[in-house]
Amino acid sequence: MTDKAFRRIATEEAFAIPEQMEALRLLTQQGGTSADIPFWRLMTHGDNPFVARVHRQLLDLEDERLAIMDEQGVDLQVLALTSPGVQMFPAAEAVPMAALANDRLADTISRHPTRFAGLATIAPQAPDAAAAEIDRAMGRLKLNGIMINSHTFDEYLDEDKFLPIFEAAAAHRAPIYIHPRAPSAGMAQPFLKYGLEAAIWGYGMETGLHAVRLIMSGLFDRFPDLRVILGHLGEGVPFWLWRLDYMYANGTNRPKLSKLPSDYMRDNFAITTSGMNWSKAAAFCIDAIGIDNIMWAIDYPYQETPGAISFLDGMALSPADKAKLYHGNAERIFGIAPSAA
Amino acid sequence: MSIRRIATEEAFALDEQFAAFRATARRNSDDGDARFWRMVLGGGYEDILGALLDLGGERLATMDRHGVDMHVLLLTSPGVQLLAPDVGADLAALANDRLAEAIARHPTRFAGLASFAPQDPARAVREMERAAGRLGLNGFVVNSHTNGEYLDEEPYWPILAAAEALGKPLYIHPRTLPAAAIAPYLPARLDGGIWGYAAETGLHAMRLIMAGIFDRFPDLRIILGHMGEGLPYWLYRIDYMFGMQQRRGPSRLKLKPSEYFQRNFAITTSGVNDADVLDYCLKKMGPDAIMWAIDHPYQETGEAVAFLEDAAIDPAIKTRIWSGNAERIFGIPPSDGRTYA
Repeated sequence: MTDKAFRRIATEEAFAIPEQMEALRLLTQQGGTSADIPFWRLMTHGDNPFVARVHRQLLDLEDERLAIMDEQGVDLQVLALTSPGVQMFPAAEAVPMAALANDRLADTISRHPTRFAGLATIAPQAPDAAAAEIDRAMGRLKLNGIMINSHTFDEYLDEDKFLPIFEAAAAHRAPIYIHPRAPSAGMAQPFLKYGLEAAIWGYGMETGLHAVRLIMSGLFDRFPDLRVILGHLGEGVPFWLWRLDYMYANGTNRPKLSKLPSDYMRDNFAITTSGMNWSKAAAFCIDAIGIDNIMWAIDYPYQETPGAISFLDGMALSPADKAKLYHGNAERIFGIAPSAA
Repeated sequence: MSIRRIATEEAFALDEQFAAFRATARRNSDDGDARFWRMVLGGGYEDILGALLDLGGERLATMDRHGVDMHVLLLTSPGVQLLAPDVGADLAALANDRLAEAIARHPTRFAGLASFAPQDPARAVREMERAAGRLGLNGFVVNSHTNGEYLDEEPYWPILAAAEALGKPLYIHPRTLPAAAIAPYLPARLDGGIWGYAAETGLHAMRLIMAGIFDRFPDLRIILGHMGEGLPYWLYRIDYMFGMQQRRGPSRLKLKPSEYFQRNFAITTSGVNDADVLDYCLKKMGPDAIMWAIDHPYQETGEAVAFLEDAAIDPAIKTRIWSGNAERIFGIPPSDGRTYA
């Protein structure tokens, strides 16, 4: 491993299982209107070098991945089943596949406990089963939190039917990472023309909206200790905190909250740097929501490890602050044991 | 000596526009803006309606009270875009005449952006030529989508060509999302200024960039309110993902998306009185591309003034934001030296 000053914990790192990839291949072959289909059709049917590399690296957990981590000086990856997880599959297929993915993830972590942690996959389309899987994943499997890939069949987590998920997460004090996927059917149409439904624009718009819906629904008054994590430096939400507060305070037709929207962003959220290796935006976020709420991430294998490292290494921060971003906040938020070294 | 203050996104309305909204709000029952205006015109918002209709007394008194030298006026959103093409085009011409009259009465206090009806592009071009020529207006305003269509679509290119040829900027002002894209914004009433306006208008800007509009019209200048509708936050990721798209196929664009944003766009501070966001945007956009705005009468003049007065930025840069950039971009003659006590 390279010489370095800080333990490096990367917090939004993707893997896949063959069963998921095969199900996505079949799904995209059948077609459909979901805005996630173009990307996953490319990923499961395309034959260009990018697709081949990402596909290989998603399915690999212990060979190439660990070698790259060693070479680049990444101590630990917080793994999660790649978006859209099992959320495009019928419940009867999604529920057992989530359990299977979580079993494999726990096995991998048990073989490399200092190199991997993991977030559990659930099938929100079956809320009670999802709650039971949270119990199992946070209990017996000892995973570090929950991953949900934004909307599920065009529904958002502020809807009442998803309450069992939050009750289970609260019981286990499990953080919930809301990872992007393409916009839901009710908003996707104008994104499609130039491929704007994907990471270049649509993922952020979809996931930012999801976060704002959660805030405005009063979810965090109901679950005041709930912690939600957003990637991509908060999916744009930190940029808009002033306006969210202003418009909330001047609006008359929304549910009353006990705090301002920006207070929830600081008290109930954390954000990661995944895919946003940009010091100006990161510095802005440190001011906006606080150094203790930001974690480093790569988004392996979709984005490059060296760029994520040189970005944070190059930021003008005190060593103590840099340590928080590289590992301290992740240790606290995900319950990862501090390094023995 | 006080610095000239030009506010660059200030709304007015006509009685005839309200009458047309009343008539159309019944027909366009699924349009979010029609719903908004049905509510506003239904009672309880007489203060806002009165302030929109006022192009003299109380508006000037408010400006005087806060030391605002000039409003750059624009017909309030969604302008004439809810109306049948002929009705909209007639109303746009009337609004531009009234605007030119108001400016003639108060040439040191008002400038104005011309309305047009995108739903009749040929007539829109003629109105733009009349407004920039005989009426001497300072640019143009369009309120994002028209009947769910965006200006990157070929039928609207003559409008973009006209703005470029006439050498006047086109302000893309928010409105709410089209029916095909509004569904997930509705449950928590996120379709308005609190979130949806920016999602709609930011997507519009992204579509223009990705469509190659600025290769076709390299001298076209677009203005976005609300600190660039979120785009400055995302420029790193937009460029990165654009690079990934290029690896999968030949690029449609000559430049990177951020380069068009920096070359062809200017932004205003309307509705985002947040000094940290301003500081961030200055770092990315530079000192010549940001203009001060209030969004009168929807937001408070005193707050917008205090925000920029208190912002800890270089005084020479602040002068450009108060008025220097607006003079250059809108072709507003330099101040006559009038100062406020």
